[in-house]
Amino acid sequence: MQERTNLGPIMDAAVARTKARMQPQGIDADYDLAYEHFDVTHFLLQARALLSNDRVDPLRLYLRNGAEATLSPEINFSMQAYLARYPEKAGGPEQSPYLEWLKRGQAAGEIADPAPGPEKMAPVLGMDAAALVELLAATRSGLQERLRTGTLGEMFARAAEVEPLIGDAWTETTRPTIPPLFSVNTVDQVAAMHACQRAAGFGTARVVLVATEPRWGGGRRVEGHIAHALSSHLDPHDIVVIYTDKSGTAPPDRFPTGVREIDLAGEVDGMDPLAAQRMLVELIRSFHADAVVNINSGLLYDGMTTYGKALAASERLFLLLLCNEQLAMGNWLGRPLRYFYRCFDLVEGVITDSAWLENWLQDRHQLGAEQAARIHVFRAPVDPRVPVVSPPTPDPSRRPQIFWAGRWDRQKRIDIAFEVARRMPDVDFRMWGESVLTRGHVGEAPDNVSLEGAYAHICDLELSQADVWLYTSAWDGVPSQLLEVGMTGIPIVGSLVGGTGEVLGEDDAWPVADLENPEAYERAIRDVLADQTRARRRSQALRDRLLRERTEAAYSEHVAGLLLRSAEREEKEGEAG
Amino acid sequence: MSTDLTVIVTAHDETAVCGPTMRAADLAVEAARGRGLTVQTVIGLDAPTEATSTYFRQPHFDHWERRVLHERELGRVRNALVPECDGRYIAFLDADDLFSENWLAEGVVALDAAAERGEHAIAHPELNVVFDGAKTMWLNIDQSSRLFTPHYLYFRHYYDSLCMAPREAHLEIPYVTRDVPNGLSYQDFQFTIESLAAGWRHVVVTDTIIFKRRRDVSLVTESNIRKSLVRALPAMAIDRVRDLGSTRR
Repeated sequence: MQERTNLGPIMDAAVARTKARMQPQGIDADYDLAYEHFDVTHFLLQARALLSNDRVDPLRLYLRNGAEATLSPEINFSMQAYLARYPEKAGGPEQSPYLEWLKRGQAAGEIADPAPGPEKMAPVLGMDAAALVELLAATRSGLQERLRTGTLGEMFARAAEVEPLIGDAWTETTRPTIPPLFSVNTVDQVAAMHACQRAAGFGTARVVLVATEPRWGGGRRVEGHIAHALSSHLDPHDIVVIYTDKSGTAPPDRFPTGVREIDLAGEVDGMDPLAAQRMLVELIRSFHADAVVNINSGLLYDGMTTYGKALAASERLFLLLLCNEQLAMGNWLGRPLRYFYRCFDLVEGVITDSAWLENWLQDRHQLGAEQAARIHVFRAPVDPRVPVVSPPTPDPSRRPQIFWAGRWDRQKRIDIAFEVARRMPDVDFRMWGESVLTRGHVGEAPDNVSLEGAYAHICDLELSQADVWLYTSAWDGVPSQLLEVGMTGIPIVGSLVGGTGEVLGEDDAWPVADLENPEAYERAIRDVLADQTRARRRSQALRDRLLRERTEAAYSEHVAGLLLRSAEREEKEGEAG
Repeated sequence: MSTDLTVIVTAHDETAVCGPTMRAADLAVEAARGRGLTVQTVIGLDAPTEATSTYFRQPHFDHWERRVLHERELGRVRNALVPECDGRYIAFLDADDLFSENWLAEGVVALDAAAERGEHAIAHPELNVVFDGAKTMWLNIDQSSRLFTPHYLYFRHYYDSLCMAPREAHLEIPYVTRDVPNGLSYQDFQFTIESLAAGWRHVVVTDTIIFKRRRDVSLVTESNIRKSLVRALPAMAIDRVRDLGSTRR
């Protein structure tokens, strides 16, 4: 008997004809099992070509297609969703994974629901995945039933009489979207947002630092300095650090206790890039912070390119720019080159670690005084608790030791350090650091170089044996290494590049301007070794200058003054607009 | 106030496409009147093109009040029309969309029922069907559903801009102006968030449908829309978002 539905008599007749030619019960047990669940109307709405085909048995066709089947046999089963979770079912003993699910999978709680990501969304909704799948199935089935034979479908059909183009959308009743499981991207975004906010304890923040990754080693780094500086002005709990590009953990002493760290990179891993940008932007906005500082976050730079104006409408954004880098081909790339001009008009200010970079930006972009005033140099503080290291005990039989430490990459010019060592066979060179270069790039180490391997912090080295600290980078800002070594009283011979001149003065260190010339480094080292007492006096002057110029108090005032909204400033902003 | 409902169709440059729209609207108005409701019908013409003006001047639309505005923006048009309307409730319809024949009558029933329960409610159709240039279908989710999470509203709107609301809701929470050049858009989305925060209940009316006609949209327009955000709202702050929708008036 022909069922009457809101789809209309022509469709109803086609369904009846199709059912009439399907295989009778009792011939094939698998077919009979599937037939109990197979929804002919649902299937034909997806395969309209079969409506005018009087020979094909749709269920036989569906089962024969096995794991390759693209249509769904009933509204709550999706072959693609099932096999994405259980790929091994594609090669199972059954003719079709659908049979596997009907016989065993469904009872075992296996999920074949067509909605994207119920497992991810369930915790957001406060339920487990099974309960959510059950709710989705009930919702979908109820909707389908009411569309076919209820008032809902009657309204659909009546509208299709007014506007026949609506009738073509009957096919969409086979796959209704049920928010919040709107799409893979949306589910990923909502789940990641919820997870990140939960990690932040669902609390607002006054300052949000958005960093690439929780880089291990190297002491506080700029994000740590900023957080410590702010901690005398606010509760560290009001600072949030978001890692956007790479997961990991930061050293325990980088931040003051209470700073909240969020591993957004882990949450957006595998997410569509645009969706991840939006997720980060919404997360940032949700903190309602005084300031947001981008510390080299690639995802935030991308997000600012897409959503910059909208983000800037509510947030006080700052870019923290460090140096560009020279690529193997010789050309230069980096955040300052690529993003300063893209973002400058959007942000409240740009922060650099060196006056050198500030000047470079002003000059390159030909900024006027008003614009240049938005560039700020945060002069990293030194730690006055670092003790002066005693020089090696004078001993005519002892060979002098030159210390060098750093990441073994192109920037650090290992080749120069090796060449200096070759020119000084009477001196020992001890070099620390993990190599990211092959031996082929730097050549064999000379015999008087000992490779000491990785190090966690400069203080862990045997500094009392260091006669000279050698620094050979080809480019840099103000490296924390020089600030740390500068406090130990060890004489520093270092390349004069970027911001290093803001640490290494002519009167209290041995800056080398002729970077490519190993002889220049040798001359400076020999000058130190010739009169160690004079050299140590000069280095003490460096320490004294650093203590004067780079106090934690001044740094803290500068950072807080710029980043935190004061009541006075808010009042001014309110008056302005 | 003697008028139960004001239906407002808004148009700017639409002409022939409004034929089915107006027919569906007339059928729904007739059905509502058949249930004893008084209905005011208004066509809001916003900076209409000559062709649109001519189209809506036709005598067979004379049973609709015609209002001409020059707001050039949907939100502002709605804001301008609401104070001049008579209805306890206001139902909007964009010129190229349709709603189901029962939407107006059932929407009023749902809002009246909410009022009797002491709730201040805003109604949405149950189903959103996109047709013509693209086809898709999604459910609108009632605020009381277990599928409702405020976190979704960071990324997507649970509802379409078509809704039925008490006049006072629109007077209390007018639509904001779009600022597309600065990436701030989605007035209806913002209306939902702000009304939720103000304690309005968003209810879905069973067995009702909005049919959204998807016409040709330029890639540039689509791209600009995708790059837009709802304004940053206090209600979406990390420490408040979980409470969104739990406020009672």
